[in-house]
Amino acid sequence: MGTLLWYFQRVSALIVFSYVLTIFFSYIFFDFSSYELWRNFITTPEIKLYTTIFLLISFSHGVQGLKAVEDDYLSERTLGFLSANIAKHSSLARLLYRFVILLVIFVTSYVFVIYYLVDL
Amino acid sequence: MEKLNLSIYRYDPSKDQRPYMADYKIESESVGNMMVIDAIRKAQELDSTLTFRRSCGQGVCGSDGVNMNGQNGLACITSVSSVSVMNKLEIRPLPGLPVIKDLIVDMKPFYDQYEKIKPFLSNEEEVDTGHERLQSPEEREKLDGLYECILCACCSTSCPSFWWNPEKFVGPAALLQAYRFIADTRDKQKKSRLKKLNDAFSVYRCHGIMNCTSVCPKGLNPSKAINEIKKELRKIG
Repeated sequence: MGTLLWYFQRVSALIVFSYVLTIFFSYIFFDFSSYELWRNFITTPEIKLYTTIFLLISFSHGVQGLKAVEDDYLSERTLGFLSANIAKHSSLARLLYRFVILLVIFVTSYVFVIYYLVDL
Repeated sequence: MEKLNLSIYRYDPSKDQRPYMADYKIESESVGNMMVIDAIRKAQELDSTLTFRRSCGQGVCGSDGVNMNGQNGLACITSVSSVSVMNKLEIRPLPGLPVIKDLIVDMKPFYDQYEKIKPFLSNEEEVDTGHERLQSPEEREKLDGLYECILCACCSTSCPSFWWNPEKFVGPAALLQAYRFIADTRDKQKKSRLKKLNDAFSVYRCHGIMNCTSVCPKGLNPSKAINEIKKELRKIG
């Protein structure tokens, strides 16, 4: 499992990087002088698919990183370095942390699906 | 007469509510040349309740690992001049381990991880050659830089991943020893050793910040050994 996660973290980073490069070089080599030209490019089925993969991979990559942050900094032991009272509420802190992450994922997905994939 | 302002972490759980730093002024004709352990002993002459751990006094036993002005090391082979700043030296116990008293820490979490990696050769094959299991000079050479570890815990207690997850992350010292047996051609448990380490925490919690390598008093490189383990793990998939 450890090796699988190690591979996933690196491969997903490469996919995210390749997407950023694609957008960057498209911006340099194609004519995006008007909003319409940009919109036509970004809403082509290939780029839509690539963007969808990019977002899914970004989320998974991000969640893996955020889980590491939770494990390292929101454990009873780590919060205990700050204060014994805070450490007592480490479970609540982790719950809040997960809630905020899920909320961000939900809102971002909603915006993405409604305004981009459905193309309202 | 040279002067050294020594500030030492003090904590006696039987009477102190909180740890505190106690100041001692050491005066000697050769403060700069003395080893940190000698400075601590001079402080102990001023206050006999000061407690610390030591044994061989020459960097072999690994008993006197402490944190000196923020850097872990062995007090017996670290000179005061190499760690003091403006004649001030702050000495604390090794970070991340429970303090028993003053500079003495409870090494149990550290030894628990060491025990996990089964630090002994495992080979159940019968030997009928009439002599011990032999290695070529090249095979033996692979163990250099691995077997010399004295288990002082300076590396593991300088590692944030070990501070945060001492029960799950094996830590640099134990991983160095794990690789010592993985790399040993006489050991026949390589696969099972690797399988036991293949989770999200045991090895992969090392993010390669190399604190372990920079503080090792024996000049070993646990970070390199950890990377070798990761390579071996990727080979078995």
